[in-house]
Amino acid sequence: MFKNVIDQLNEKKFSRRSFIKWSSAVTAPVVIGGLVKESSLVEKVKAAEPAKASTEQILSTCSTINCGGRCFIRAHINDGVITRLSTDTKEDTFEMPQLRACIRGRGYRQFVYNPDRLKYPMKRVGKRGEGKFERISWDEAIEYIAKELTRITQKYGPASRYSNYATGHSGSIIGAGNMVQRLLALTGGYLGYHNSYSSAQTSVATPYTYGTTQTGSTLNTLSDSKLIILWGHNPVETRWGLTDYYVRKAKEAGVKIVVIDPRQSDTAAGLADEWIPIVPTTDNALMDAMTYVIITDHLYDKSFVDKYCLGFDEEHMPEGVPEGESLVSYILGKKDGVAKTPEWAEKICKVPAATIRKLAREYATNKPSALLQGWGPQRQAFGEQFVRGGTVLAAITGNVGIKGGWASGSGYTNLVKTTAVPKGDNPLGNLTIPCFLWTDAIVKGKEMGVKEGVKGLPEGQEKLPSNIKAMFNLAGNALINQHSDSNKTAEILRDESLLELIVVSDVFMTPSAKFADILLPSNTFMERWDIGTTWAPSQHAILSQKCIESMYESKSDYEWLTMLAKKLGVENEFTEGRTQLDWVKWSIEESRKKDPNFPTFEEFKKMGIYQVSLENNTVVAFEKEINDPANHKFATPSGKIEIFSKDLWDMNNPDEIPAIPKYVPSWEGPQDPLTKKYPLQLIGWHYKRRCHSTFDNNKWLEEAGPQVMWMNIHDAQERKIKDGDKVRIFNDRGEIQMPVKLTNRVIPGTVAIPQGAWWAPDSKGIDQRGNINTLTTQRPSALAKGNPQHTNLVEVKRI
Amino acid sequence: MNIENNQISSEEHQLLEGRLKFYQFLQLLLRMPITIKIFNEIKEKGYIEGLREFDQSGQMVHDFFYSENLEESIQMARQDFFGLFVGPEALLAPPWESVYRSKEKALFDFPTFEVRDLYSQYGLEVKKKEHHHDEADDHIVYELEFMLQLIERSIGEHDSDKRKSLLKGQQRMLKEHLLKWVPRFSTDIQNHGTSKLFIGLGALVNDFISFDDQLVEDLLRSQDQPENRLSEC
Repeated sequence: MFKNVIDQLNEKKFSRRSFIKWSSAVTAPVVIGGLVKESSLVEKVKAAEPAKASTEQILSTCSTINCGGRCFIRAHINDGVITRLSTDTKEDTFEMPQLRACIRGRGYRQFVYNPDRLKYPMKRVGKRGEGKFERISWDEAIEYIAKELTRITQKYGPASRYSNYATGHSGSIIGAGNMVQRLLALTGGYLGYHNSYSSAQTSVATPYTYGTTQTGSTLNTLSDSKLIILWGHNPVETRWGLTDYYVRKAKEAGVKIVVIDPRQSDTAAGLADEWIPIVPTTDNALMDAMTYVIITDHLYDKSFVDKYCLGFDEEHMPEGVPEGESLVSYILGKKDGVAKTPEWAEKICKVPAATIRKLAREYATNKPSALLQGWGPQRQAFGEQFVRGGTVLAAITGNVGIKGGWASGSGYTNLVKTTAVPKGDNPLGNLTIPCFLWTDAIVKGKEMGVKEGVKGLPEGQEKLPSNIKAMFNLAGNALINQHSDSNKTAEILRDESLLELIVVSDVFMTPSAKFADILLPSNTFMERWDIGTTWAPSQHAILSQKCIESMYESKSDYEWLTMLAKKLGVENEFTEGRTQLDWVKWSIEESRKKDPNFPTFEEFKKMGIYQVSLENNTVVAFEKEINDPANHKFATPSGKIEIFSKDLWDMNNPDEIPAIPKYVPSWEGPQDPLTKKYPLQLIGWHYKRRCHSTFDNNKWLEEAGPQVMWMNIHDAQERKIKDGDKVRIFNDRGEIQMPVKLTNRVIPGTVAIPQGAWWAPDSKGIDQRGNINTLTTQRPSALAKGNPQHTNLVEVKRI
Repeated sequence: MNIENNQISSEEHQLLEGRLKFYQFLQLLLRMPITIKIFNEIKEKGYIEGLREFDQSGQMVHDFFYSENLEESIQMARQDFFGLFVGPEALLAPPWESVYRSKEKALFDFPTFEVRDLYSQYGLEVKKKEHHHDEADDHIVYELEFMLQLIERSIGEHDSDKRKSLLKGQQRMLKEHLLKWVPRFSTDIQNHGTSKLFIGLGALVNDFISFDDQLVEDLLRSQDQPENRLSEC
């Protein structure tokens, strides 16, 4: 009876009649016979026992992705599965704030349990970059790498081996990049790098003023300020340790907050009393004009500059420099005839002269005031000038070395110091290139010398001995995505006669991973041991505890590098007999030698965090140098704050590397003739939903922060572009197609694309996701040879 | 309960055998990338001709096994297998129930625990290896494995209460799990597969589980209502 019903139900698909017919024709036990060795479900060891009521285990950990927050994470584990995450719940106090997770930290479960994780080692089978891979075993992968590495080393020498700058596993004691350098050091050496993609210009420029990059104070001092200027600083999205928290506390304490930024960032919208929009690359025009007001209104701290500074006026200049090179001479236009007045600056930076006067007076008269620089504006063609300009403003107003002031510049200070696993000595000495110039070192390394930023060349050797031939890109996306000019980079990587080996390890198939010859599945921070620290100014370290076993066939970089070390015959030297957990314990003991308050392993495991209370631990940068100058000189050649740097003067390139900070009209800036062809400036920013490029594939975070370009309504109207339209953004280097958001939160003439989206070129090479680096240039900044990724000219058109 | 009712009818037996074989067939193809050895084995013993009667999907799978260019077809099917289920690219048809049914679209969500519980009720668990992370319990291969192990047991089971319990387990897996996500999973396979094998198989797996749901319902009914025994229909 019911048989007919079924037949009707499945009339067009399955009928019982045909099913039985098929079944009886199939030879039993058929299909399984001999093919599947074992079944995947087995008899339960203990017969069905009722689930215990509370078997939940809670392990604390933190990510070791290079995140500005480094929040505290508690993994709730049930039956081997992380079922949910919680975060810091201790009492939230001014001296010991909670290390709560933002949306990035809340999304870690989806990071670890994302179905798209790399699961097995892979070997490229198609052309490089084409994305065709075949699964191989770990042994095969290690065998291949060892063989190729040995061949390349024999043919080109150890200086042909390079580990690319990467931040997917960093801010920790066992960073992936450091570990591969450790192995390369043990097997002949390697070409190293200096700088970073985050802070090249500020790390290089800040010491020309102060002799150090340690210019930060503890953040509690912000509440002692009368005015805080956040210049291109967006801690509400980046978090920057606990900077967002302490700026909020300062606001609650009544401190006025001004944000200078081409965009009304979330920080400007959420915390600022005043947002001053500025044209990108023209920060120093505003700084020069502020200096003009401060000098001509006699608001500078005369006794401070006389006592502590070099180069303010002609009376305080180093020997051997001609007349007219001091700051005052430049600002008043003694030599070039151009006084750097607010009216002069307004034409360049589009900040009204009245606003400039008001800001300068407010900053100079409300002592102490804190001028904090973000790292965005230093990632421009003349970012070094931005850095130096900020430090000079702090110095002439006497805001250095006092509580509530701020020295400006890079802003490091660390209350908690961890001990990293040593990289060991590179047999090639400190032979390094600026990390941004690795593509040059692939194409024409043998033409690169001191002028190109190479450091550590041995006596009598003018150029690098070899081009880069073997590339390790572990836990990083700067092999293409985060490096400039994606199309040019791709062309270099695709050429198999240039790099002869590319080894990539990662958690996902990133745009960089697509260019691997050997692609290795990395585990995540939840699957290994480490210790995480945060962006400075910092006051905490977190034990990054292993919570679950490595998924699929993934391994930590340390684990597979140990396999490679064994193959290369240096396993004992590489590991010194230690696992990652052993290194963590070793690191803790080393740290305890210097800081007896550093917790023991057991204590650390129990508490999860080592956080130093700011009560009685306030640091004010350069306090000693200011209070006791006789015994504490600045670490500069003159022992003073160098407004004028003789070292920079001696470089003899005053147009691009002036000895005092100056506004240098930027290539691809608003005054570049190229604006006729590409009239819009393009900048990026660190978006709250990503840590650099990590989490771009997190679907939750995509809902929280979709990838859209910001454009001012005025610029859009001229181009007949409507909100939500998909637009073409292009210049000579490439093209992106992505949706646009029309807003008055970005200055007219500038468009902004949140950086870190995964480059997704279509068959014509047009990026369909919105990776800003499709349009950025590989031309480095003048002094640091850093990445100028916020200096770009483009045009935008409706599709 | 009388002895007569405890015996399994020949048609019931035949249906159970058929179901077992079909689940084995599906599971094998979803479990590992096809090789020439598997291809030959299936072609030889799997009565591929018979698949043609299972609508277009069966026809597609059949055509795959009679492809003109064998090597190219197998290569395409292998590429599909990695692209759909393994990677390294973002998966086009992630083979886990949690991905389709959880808000987070990630692994190890509530379906993992639900099926783990169900396996446990029938004395089963995912095979564990020390110092290795376990594969998620709601992977399609495990859910199909659960079906075929319970079917296998039903065949050998002479106690009608136990047999009924085994059928209930199969019904729960179908209604509470497979039917709730395989339709979307199947659509992804069909949309993103490029080989005849997977475009066909994607549809076939979906068609089959809804067909099997009916079969299990009938089988269960026949346990309760001897007058409706399949053999008497």
